[in-house]
Amino acid sequence: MKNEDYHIMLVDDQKIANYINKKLIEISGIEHQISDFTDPKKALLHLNNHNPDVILLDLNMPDINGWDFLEQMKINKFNSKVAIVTSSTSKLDRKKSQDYQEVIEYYSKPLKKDDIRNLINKLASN
Amino acid sequence: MSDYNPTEAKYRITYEAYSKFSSQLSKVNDIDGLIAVVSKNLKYFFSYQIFRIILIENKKTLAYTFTNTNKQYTSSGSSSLLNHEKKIAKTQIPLHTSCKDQELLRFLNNNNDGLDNDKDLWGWYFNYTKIEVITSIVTKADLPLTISDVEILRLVVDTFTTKHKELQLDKQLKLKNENLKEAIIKIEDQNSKIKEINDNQQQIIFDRTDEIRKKNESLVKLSFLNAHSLREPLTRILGLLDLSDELDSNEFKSNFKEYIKESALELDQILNKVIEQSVEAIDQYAIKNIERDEK
Repeated sequence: MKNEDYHIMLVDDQKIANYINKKLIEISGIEHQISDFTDPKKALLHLNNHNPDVILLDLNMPDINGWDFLEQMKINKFNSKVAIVTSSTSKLDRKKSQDYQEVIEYYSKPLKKDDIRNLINKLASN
Repeated sequence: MSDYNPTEAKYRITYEAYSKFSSQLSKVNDIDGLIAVVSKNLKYFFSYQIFRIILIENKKTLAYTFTNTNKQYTSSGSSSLLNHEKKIAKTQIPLHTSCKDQELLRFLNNNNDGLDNDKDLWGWYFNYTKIEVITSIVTKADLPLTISDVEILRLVVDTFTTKHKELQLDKQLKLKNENLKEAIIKIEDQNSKIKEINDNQQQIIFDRTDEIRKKNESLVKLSFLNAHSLREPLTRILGLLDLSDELDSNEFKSNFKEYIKESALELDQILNKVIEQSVEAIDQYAIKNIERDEK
């Protein structure tokens, strides 16, 4: 496992959710830098001049939901990897996420410590 | 002034009488009118005591009798044929005898002028398309018919038969038109009934479909709430609880309680909303069922 300095972006309209994920990443002991957003629009703007290694993306958000966010990424050719982290248990959502090449993982909340490690491993092996 | 010619004069008078007769006939529009015009004009054509005309069409017999006292009799059915008429119908041979038939002469009762004198009976058979006509005339024996009388008689019979036929067709046409109108009204009535039933059924189908659609909508809304909103604050609580096993910092401790509470309150709010919507959906369904049972 390479402990590089991973740039991780958190996009969830719930600040507590972002807080939890941030803490989980801290606990995992992985070297990282985090940018967290409760407003997906601001996150998209941030992507104009940043290229995070992975984005933890919530699906159910007002105004711009996770799917819109993925479409915008495609249009703007942002090539960060995406891990969907959703409270949805819908099989349809999981299936739909497979249509997006940049989506490398799909997690149902709450995210676990091990999920973060596995995700970083997946990134490292790519 | 030209020389007096009795035959020519008679023709002229007859011609004038006939043109008057024709013009009156053209204004006639029912059988009664026809009888009245004939009765009024017949005496201008020839002298007669009784004039009878029998029309046989499709085995139906109609008998019209005119007397020189302006009386008219109408009868129908084969029984209205007199003996000599039956004979003419059978043989089709013209008839000229002295008249003794009391059945015929009874048309002249109350006529003092007639009964004592000798009378002649004349009869002819004419065949038109689809109609057989038998005509008979009773004249005084001392005033027989001349050839010109017979010619004009023939003309009168022609005219009568043609007009009679025209009036009957007219009557039948009117009757058929009325029947047709009645049938059309009936059809329209039934059409509107059918349309009403159709509309009603479409309304019922529409209502039921609409009901199902609304029910589906509320179900989809409910399941959406369940899939996303309901789980979301719960996952935060679970996540925070997981973290509490690992983190012991004061920063976490101070946030932990606040975040748990905030998330729990949100969960409560959403649960209330879900319960409210379920109850509403159940109530609506129950009300609809009661309404339908009452119908």
